[in-house]
Amino acid sequence: MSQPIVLVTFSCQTGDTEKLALSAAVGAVQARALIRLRRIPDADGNVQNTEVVRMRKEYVGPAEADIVGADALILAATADTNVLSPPWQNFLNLLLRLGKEDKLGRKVGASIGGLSPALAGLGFLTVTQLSSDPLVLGRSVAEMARSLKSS
Amino acid sequence: MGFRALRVINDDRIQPGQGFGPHAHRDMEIITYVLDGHLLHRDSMGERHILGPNEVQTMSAGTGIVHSEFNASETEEVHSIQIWILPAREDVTPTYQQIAFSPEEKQGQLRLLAAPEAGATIIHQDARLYVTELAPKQAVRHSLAAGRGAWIQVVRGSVIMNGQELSEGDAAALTEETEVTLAGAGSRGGEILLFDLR
Repeated sequence: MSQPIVLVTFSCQTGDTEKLALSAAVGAVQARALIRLRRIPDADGNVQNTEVVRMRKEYVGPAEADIVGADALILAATADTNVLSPPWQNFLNLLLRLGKEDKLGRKVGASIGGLSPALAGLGFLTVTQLSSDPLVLGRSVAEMARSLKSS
Repeated sequence: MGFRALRVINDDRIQPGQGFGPHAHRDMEIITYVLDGHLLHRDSMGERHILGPNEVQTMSAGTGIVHSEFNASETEEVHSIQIWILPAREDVTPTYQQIAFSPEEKQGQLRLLAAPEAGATIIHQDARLYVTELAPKQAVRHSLAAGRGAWIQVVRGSVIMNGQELSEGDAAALTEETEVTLAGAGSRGGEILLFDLR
């Protein structure tokens, strides 16, 4: 039985949401999942603070293959994230298209922060917010993905 | 795959400003030794350190960690060796250790880098990792207890191991020897990692 793959995608300008995303990823690893970490590109490419410059170097943005290849998707963002910004819109439109193509139907979706409404109706089999603790959430999502994969 | 509990030895050359983005490990003892340059480490435990020559870093991934490693310099290449050793038991609490030593401690003698007991970074496996730097014709000996094996990895220069010449990047597995003799060879001698494994 192959390990479930959990894609953790986040947006962050300060490093704070990155910590939540890393915590969710560690939770998924604790549940023996493989993880992929991706960062939504900046809406404003001119931001040059140290953390943003570092994260631009350390992470790539999510690609279609990342989503298609994952068994679960966790989105992390702050509660005031503007999902109407072009980078988020591009990502959510990609999810919408994949949902219409029935490519999300056996995947688990979950969110950290204020993105639950954005995930609803995209076509995930299950959209969950099992815990406010990202570590527990990551673990639970990986366990759900494993169950789904073996069913 | 691997030799006894030793699973991986990565000999990495990382260009300025480049590195390995955040990725996960589970149930693995991960030892990093830098030969040249400086490596910037960050992980999900909140550790953020720079690792340079004559230091060793050991992470016990245990239940799970995420970390990244980047060349800390925008001008100098990093040459580092990363080793993965299987732990004797799974699900240990993740830990990070980093120690420094003086260059003299490895010159002409074996300096313990990782072991299951104090005196080095501690790993969850009955394995010992030593480093030594040998000038030409300078020699060290290491006895192997019954049933134990050794892996020799030449990380710099060249050496004579039990009469056999090995050059940088070469390795040897010893399974039925009671002693390993290493001597610096060529005009520069060599630097060697020696693993003593159950």
